[in-house]
Amino acid sequence: MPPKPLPLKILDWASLAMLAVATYMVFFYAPMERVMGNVQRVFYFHVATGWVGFLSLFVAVIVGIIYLRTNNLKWDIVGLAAVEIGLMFSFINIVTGSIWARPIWNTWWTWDPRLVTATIMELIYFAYLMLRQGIENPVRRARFGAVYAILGFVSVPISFMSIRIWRTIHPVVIGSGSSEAQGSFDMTSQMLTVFLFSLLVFTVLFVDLLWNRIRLGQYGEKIEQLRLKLMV
Amino acid sequence: MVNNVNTVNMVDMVNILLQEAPAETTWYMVFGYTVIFGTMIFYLASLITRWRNLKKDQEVLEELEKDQK
Repeated sequence: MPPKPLPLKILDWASLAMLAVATYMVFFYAPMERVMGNVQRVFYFHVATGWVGFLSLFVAVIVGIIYLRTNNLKWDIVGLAAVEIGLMFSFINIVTGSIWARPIWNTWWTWDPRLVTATIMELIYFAYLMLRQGIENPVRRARFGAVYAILGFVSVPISFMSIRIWRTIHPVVIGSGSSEAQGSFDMTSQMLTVFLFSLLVFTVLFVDLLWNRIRLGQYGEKIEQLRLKLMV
Repeated sequence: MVNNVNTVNMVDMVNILLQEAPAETTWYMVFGYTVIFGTMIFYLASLITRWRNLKKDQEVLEELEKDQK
């Protein structure tokens, strides 16, 4: 495997530095929310991981469509990488949401449309990883992966729109919030700065992780080819 | 003088009692950020482990290839 390219090394360090700055800003620059207290600081990375989770799964759909049009297996590697990273960030989003809910809603879990749809989305893509492992033929696996990623994506807009469509206690951060939302709050300019910076940082982190995960997939493919060559 | 001090103290105490202080939720914040960084570190460690395993596989396969020749 060729050594890590310089732009990727730079991206690794840049994303790490940006994450450190964002963490500093969350704890020392953003003011404490006057009702919820310190737990509100979870909000910055909670929303950022949710955004990157959606973005990853959107990338998996685009890549799935490209694969179905080109039948080039390299796109399957990208699709798998995007789903895996999307799952990781969505998991963080769901768990941190639960932790934030405990002191604010007085429960770790409630059957709220946003929580339910986000968890269903997570399970759909977790099943993607499980089902892929059961298919030995790489071409069939890639085709299945592409179709599944496209169909599974239906769950993403449903989850995103759930707080706008149904009656819910989850606050709407982007756009106007419902007056019934419990745990909603107005952001000061400092809070908004930290929020927007966190979104940027996690987007950069996503690109960095995706690139690294694609390289891992390519390396795995190379080893698989070597193994097949020896078996012949 | 004593009365004045007592009056000030009483006002302060009433203010403190009526103040809308933020809820004490620091523990939940710490828990949240532990989950965030813990999950990301776990994922990074899994990437590194998988990379190392592939490297080992490559070494073994290259040895076998040499033996076959």
